[in-house]
Amino acid sequence: MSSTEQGTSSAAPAEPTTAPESAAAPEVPESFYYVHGKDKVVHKVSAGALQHSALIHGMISNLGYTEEQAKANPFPFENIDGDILQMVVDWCNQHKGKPTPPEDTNLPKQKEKLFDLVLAVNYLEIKELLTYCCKQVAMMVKGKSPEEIREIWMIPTDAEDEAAEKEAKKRAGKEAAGETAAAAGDAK
Amino acid sequence: MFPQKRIENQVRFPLLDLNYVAIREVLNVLDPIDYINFSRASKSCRTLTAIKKPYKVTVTIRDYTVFRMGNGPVSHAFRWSTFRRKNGTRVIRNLTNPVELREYYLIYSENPFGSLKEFYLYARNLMGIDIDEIVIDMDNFKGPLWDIIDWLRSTSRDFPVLSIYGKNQRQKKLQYILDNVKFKDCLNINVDTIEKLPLKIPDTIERLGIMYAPWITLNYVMQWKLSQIASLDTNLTNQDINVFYKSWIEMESHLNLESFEINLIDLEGFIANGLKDIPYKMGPIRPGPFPAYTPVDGSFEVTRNDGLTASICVYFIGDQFVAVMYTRLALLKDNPIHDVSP
Repeated sequence: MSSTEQGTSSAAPAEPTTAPESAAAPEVPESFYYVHGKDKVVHKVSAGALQHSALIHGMISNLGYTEEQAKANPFPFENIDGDILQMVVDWCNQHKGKPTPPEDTNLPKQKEKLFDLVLAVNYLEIKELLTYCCKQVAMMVKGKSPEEIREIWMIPTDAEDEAAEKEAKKRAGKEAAGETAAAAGDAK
Repeated sequence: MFPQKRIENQVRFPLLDLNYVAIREVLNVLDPIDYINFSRASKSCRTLTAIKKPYKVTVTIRDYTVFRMGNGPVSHAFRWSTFRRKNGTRVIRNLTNPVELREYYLIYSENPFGSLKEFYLYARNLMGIDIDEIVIDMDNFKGPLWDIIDWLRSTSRDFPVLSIYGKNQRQKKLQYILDNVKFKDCLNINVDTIEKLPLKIPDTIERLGIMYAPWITLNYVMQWKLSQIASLDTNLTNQDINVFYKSWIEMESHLNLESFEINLIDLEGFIANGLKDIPYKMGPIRPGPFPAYTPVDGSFEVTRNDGLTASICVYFIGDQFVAVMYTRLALLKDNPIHDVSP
C-alpha cells in the first residue's frame, strides 16, 4: 500500500486506505517508487502496485534505484491531473497482487472525471483499469437512440464534420499559399 | 423494458477525443443494438464501426420482423412492428427452454418486412454478418409468400437453418417454401398441414425436426439419410419403430445416424414391441435434449453389429411420450434438434 507525501502543492492528498509498510511485512523488503502529476503532489507507490501500469513497469524494471534515489527522482506525469493520478494510484494499490475481478466496484464514481481518467489510464497502459473505465463509458449510452448517443458522446453531426473539414482545408490552403509566398520572397 | 429517459442531466463524454485504442475498447463493450445505433449517429461513427463481427444472426418473418444477433445464451435484436406505442423501447425476454436472454429493441414501422430488408443490407455492409437462421411464421405473415421467397433468393445465400411455423396451412404453400429457400444444414418444420401429405425434403441436410408428422410412414423414414431426425405426432407404431431400430443394428440403413427421436403412440407396448428381439442392457437415466424432456426411466443400451452402442431413452414432453435414440451422447449437450419458438 502507498503513503502519500506532500509535494510542492498545498493540496492535501487523500489518505491511503490501508497502512503502508506495517501490513504483513514481506520477507524481501518491498521497493517503492514515487510519482507525481500536474499538481506536483508526490505519491509513494510500491513496485507491486505499479506493475499494473505497463508504462511505469517498463520504466522501473531496469533502474535498480535505492530508496533514496527513488525518492529523489519521482516520475513526473505532467499531463495527468493530481486528483486523477490519485485515483489511479489508489486503484493500483487496491488491486496489488490480486487477480482483477470481472466487475470492479472500486472504480471512481464521478463520471465528470471519466474522460481524464480514461486518458490517464490509456497513457499509463493499465489494461484492466482501461477495460473497466471503457465499460463505464459504454454504459452511458446503453439503450439510447442514435440521436441520444450523438448528444451524450458529443459526436459532431455530419454537417458539422463537413464544415470543420472545409475550414481545415481552407486553413491548409492559406498556409500553403503563405509558405509559397515566403519561399518566393526568399528566392528574390 | 427501458423507458425513454431524458438525457438533459446526463454527463457528456467526448468519445471521439479519445485515442483510437480507447475508442475501440469502448465500442467493443457495446451490445449489438447500441453498436448499430452508434454507427448511425454520424458518418464518422459509421466508419469507426465498419468492422467484421462474429455474430450469429436469426431472422424472423411474421406480422412483425426480427433481426437477432448474438452468440451463446445472450442475444440482441431489432424488432419492427406496426405498434407505435412502444417505439424506441427495449424489452428483455428470459427463456428457460433452453436458458436464454434476449433483448429486443422495438421499432415502429408501417412495413416491418421492408424495414427488415433495409436493415439487413445495412448490417451486412457494416459488420460483414449474414443470416444463419430464417424463421417464417406462415400464419402471421401478412404479405404474399413469394415476397419472402424473392428476398431470400436475392441474398444468394444457403441458410444454415430454416424453421417454419404454421397451423392448417396448405401443403402446396409449405412445399413452395421448401422448394425455393436454399437451406443446407437443418430444417425445422412446425406446420400442421390441411392435406397431411408427405413433403419432399432434401436429404442433403444433416438435421430434421418435424413437429406435426401424421403423414410420415415407415417407408418414408427408412429412406432418410439424415444424421439427426426428430419426428413428432406421427402414427408410426411400435412395430415400425422396431423395424427402424433393427435396421440400424444390422447396419442395413442409417449408418451415419446420430440421433432419432420419435413419438410413442403406445408407451405400454414399447418394450414388448418396439424393442422386440433386440438385446439391450439397462443404462442410466439420461437428461433430454431440453429441460422440458422428463426422463421416464433408465435408458436401453443397444449395440450395433460393428460394436457402436446407442442409448434409447423415453421422455415425457407436454402431452406425449417420445423415444430418443442417441448414438452419440455428446448430442445431449450441443446442437439440440428442435429450435425454440420465433
